[in-house]
Amino acid sequence: MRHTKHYWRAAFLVILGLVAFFSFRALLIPESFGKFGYYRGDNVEEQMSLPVSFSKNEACADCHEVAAIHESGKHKTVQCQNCHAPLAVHVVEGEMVELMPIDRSPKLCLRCHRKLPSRPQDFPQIVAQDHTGEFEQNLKSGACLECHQPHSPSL
Amino acid sequence: MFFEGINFLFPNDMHVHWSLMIVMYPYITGLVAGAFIVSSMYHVFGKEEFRPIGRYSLLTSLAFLLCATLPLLNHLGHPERALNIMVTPKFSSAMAGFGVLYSFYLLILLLEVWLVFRQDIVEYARTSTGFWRWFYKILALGVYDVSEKALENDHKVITVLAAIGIPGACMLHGYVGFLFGGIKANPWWSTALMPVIFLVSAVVSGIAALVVFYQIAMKMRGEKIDQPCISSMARLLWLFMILTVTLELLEIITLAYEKAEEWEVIHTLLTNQLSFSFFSLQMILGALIPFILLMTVVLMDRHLRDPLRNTLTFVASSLLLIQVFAMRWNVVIGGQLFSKSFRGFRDYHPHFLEKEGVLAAVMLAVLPCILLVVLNRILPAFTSKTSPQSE
Amino acid sequence: MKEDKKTEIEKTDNKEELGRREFIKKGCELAFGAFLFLGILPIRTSRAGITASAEPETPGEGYNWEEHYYAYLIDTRKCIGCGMCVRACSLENKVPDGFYRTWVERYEVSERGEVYIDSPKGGREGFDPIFPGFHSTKAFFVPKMCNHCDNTPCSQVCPVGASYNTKDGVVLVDEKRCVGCGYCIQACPYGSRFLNPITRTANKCTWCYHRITKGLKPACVQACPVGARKFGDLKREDDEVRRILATERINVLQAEMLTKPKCYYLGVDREVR
Repeated sequence: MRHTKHYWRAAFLVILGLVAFFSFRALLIPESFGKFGYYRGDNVEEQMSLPVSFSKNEACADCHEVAAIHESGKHKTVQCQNCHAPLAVHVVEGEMVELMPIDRSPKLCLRCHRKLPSRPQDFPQIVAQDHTGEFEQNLKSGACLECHQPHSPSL
Repeated sequence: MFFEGINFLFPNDMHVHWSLMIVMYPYITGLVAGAFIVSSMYHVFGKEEFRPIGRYSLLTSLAFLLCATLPLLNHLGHPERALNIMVTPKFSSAMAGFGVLYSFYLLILLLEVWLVFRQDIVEYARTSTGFWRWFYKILALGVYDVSEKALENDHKVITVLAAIGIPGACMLHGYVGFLFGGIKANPWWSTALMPVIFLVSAVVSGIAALVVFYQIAMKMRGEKIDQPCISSMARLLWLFMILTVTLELLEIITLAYEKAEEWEVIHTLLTNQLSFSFFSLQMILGALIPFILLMTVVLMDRHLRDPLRNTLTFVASSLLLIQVFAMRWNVVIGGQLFSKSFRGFRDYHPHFLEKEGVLAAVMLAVLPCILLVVLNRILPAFTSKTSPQSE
Repeated sequence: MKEDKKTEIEKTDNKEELGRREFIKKGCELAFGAFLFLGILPIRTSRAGITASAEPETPGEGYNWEEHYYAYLIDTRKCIGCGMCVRACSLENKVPDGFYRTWVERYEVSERGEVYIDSPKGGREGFDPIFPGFHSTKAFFVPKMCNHCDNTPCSQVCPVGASYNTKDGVVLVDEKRCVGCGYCIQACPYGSRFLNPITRTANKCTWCYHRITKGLKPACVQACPVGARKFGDLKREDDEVRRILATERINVLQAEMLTKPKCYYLGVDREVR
């Protein structure tokens, strides 16, 4: 064991470094890491607590009578928040904060009802020119509403 | 222009996420591994022809290793969280191996550099003054034993360290290859050959870089370039280069032969988007020409005059450095130029001044070279105060 | 001789006599260091391990994730390509422009095998008519999102444990832990993941985890007016999705990858990847 002093010193430094690293690392591991698996356990609850914007469909009936008309028509499977906006825009904690946006543009109706080969054949769809005499781009706001009631659209 | 007449990419597939920085990272770690293999030629396998660059190649490996994390840190979305990879590494991911492999190899390399240069460190501790005296005293760890027995012990330990260092260096670069090779979602990357291709091309880049640096360093010092050393490096370079190109071509030939689902998109990739960087750079300029040049140097070694040998190897090495870069580009960027839909392509053009752009890449290439010059000043590789020949 | 070269530094370095003392001294230092190292190591690999009680904990209150295992069913025969699902998702989850947690693809296929596929803005504004340059005999829409695989290639490659699978079958990303390396985005065969440019972390569909754990449906399922998207809980006896999976012919995307996706498809054509 002669002529080896420098090896001992080097080994000591290396072990010191490792100890320092593992101590430092122990401080940095988050509290809940490893609780449920190899991830930070607290994150699951964080993800569960994110704010909800779209409410259940039935919520609109609490204040609006038109919901009853909507329920009885062909559009009953279309949620109110599709054509309007998510409830969170309109009502926050039971209080109304803003009016619901109302979009009267024919683009909204044609979004579902313009004729496309990729749509199922039995779905009601029209070619704007054949249905109204005007090309889609030339239709004015409220064009579809001249004949159709949006909440219960059959003529 | 595009096959099937459509260019459809998945909506989230519009951007190339792994940029030029991720091309630089395997390039730099490749140079680390390659330079280390060259130094091991002397320190482990005892080949005397490699003695002149035995110490210099260790410094090269260290200089590039110290800069290896920079492209990654530049690329991460949250570099301040980079320590997460060391704090909670998930070892099912090849990328998590980085922390362990890098630290382990850094340790081995630092110890080996320390031991190889220890005799000089002690001498400098003895003869310098002021700041440098204390610097070298600390580096010597306060031990000044350079007796014959001590140096003999050192030599044994160096051999062991260098032997451990070879798999260490191979793993440090091989894991990058596995990082790509293990992604079944990307057919251009997914192959068992990927770690092997990365590793052998890393050795090519290391030897080529050392040829270039050695010749430049000797020219600047006004010293003679050792010819047996150059001949041996040329031979090793030639052999590894043949192996590398064979494997690279083999992968494509297999894909072309099997003509599976991915062949259509890869075929278009190679002939359109990568036509210049693959055929012109990686294969013709980067492989065929150096092959011929090195073949001349190796097979006609006896008949060559010194300046011609030096020039041929220098040119071949420079071209091979370009070849290895082109290969990294073609793998990393090429694999992202087509969408996972296998029906569409996107573009990638790094800008000069952007965060992960060309200027950043150039700086990252130049920084290790500057570091190498600095290291060579502190621990001169080519002169030794204690013995006429370098150790 | 080498002895003559000794300078004052080396004279203080008395090797032979102090050999044994040095050995013991250095040995003790090393042993102490090793003891510290080994002592700290096992305790600190998982801090949570110390405080874990015998009773298994589930996250959140009033919700037990052991009682649920979710699955998603998409019926492409019913999809009308209105894109209301994409709109609902982006509003519910504040998805940045140009990125999509769910999207709808349109296919038009000719008899000769010519295919036209597009997904303008993921389908968020619906689809305009197009003229693909051939007569299509077959056309349909395919909604897509993260498949929440059982054999996730994405969580497998996350280097820091930011991407994980919950016990109720949902794959989530911890935005506070993600370093933004982008590996998971490369590993996903379906293109479901993206790098959020604002948070610079990986993002993807979460099956609206914040909704389903409260008994609501994901925003996209609730928005679909034709019932093309269905969300189910395989641990419930009367679940509709469970019944369909058991009785009808279903498929998954890129089945050969064996990622075991939990988004099941009815009516998916061979052109769909």
